[in-house]
Amino acid sequence: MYLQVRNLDCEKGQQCLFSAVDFSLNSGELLHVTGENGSGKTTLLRVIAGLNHDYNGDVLWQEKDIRNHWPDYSQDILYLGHQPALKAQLTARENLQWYARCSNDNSLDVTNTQVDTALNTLGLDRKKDIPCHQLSAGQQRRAVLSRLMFSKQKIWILDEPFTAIDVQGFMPILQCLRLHMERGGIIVMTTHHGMEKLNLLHKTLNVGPA
Amino acid sequence: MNILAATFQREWLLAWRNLADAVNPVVFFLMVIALVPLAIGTDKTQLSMIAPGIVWVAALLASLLSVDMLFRRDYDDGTLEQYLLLPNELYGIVWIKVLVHWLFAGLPLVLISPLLGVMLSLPPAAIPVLMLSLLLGTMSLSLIGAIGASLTVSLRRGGLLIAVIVLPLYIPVLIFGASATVQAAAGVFPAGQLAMLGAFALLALGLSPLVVIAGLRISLES
Repeated sequence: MYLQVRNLDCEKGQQCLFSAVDFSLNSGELLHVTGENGSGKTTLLRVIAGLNHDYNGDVLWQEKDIRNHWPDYSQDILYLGHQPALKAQLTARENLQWYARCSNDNSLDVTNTQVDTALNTLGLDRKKDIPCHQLSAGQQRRAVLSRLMFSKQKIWILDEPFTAIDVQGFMPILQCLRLHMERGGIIVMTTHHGMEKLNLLHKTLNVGPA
Repeated sequence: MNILAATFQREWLLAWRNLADAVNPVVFFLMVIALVPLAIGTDKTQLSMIAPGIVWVAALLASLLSVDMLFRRDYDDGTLEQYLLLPNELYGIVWIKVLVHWLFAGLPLVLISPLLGVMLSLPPAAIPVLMLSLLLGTMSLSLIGAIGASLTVSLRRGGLLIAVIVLPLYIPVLIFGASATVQAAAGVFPAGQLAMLGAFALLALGLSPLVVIAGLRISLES
């Protein structure tokens, strides 16, 4: 498995966000994207996730351009953006069940158990059946991140995953990231919570105008 | 199939939990029709003459009002991005979203239309045709409206723009729908108009999701 970005340029409006971004990631590697606010970290993640096609350069997955192999590539990605992508009127369990059913073909019982286990691991066992708009910001984040627990995708693209997460919530997620890397998955993420606390082997990429 | 069933279940549940929003178009429709006789007077011949037009214009505006919200919440909470990451299922997801929207905003209009027909002294013979034309018409309206919604979802104030994009496409539906009802009121079965409405509905059923997907992609790239 091999994710390669070659000579990537990206503009927003008339302004150059970043240029000549180059990196490659093998199985089991984590890339930490750093940069000032507004330097284009999110844009870079969206490009890699295939949500933004407005760029020059190449993004290659298994040596194939993701723009030409989009439906196949998309099945290998899990993208967690800024917004929680949870429905405020649905409970955490209902939200997660939809994602679980989208990401695999298991029977209903299996996915339901998966969802419950994931939510329990992240300490939401007593909040599973409360509508998401009544959860705190940190609890919502935990609910979003429980998707990692049953994800089968190979590339995880995480935009500030630890926002509003406390120490107790942090540990299971960290373990989950570690497990993903041991299994040969790839992670691309941004975070302002110093990577030293994470204590994961990683590459660093600094983006910003050249 | 798994995903489509799950999506239908979820959209259905969401519509129930947001019932106040979901029934908005029906309430609007009812209010317009209830106010017309009060404003125009209760002269039966006059009312029955304008009834088809009033019912159809009200149905069209009700659909236009509600369709703006079709993708707005998904855009705001980030769900839309997650939909786009399911390209193989996207067609089905869009289709189901529009279907559920129609079940709450379109189908009730069809079901209460006989009552409104009576309120506007529409000849009883025209009522089945009114229902059939609204059934086919509201389906087209929802599907066409979704195109406008997909293109304007990233704009903060897309309300007027959506009308500009969608109204020209709504007009054929309005013309054939209203004319079918007028003809039925005159005692002739409007086979031609109903066939056209059916053709519009089928065309929209097949093609509209494709255009919506392209629209959503454009909206999310910016």
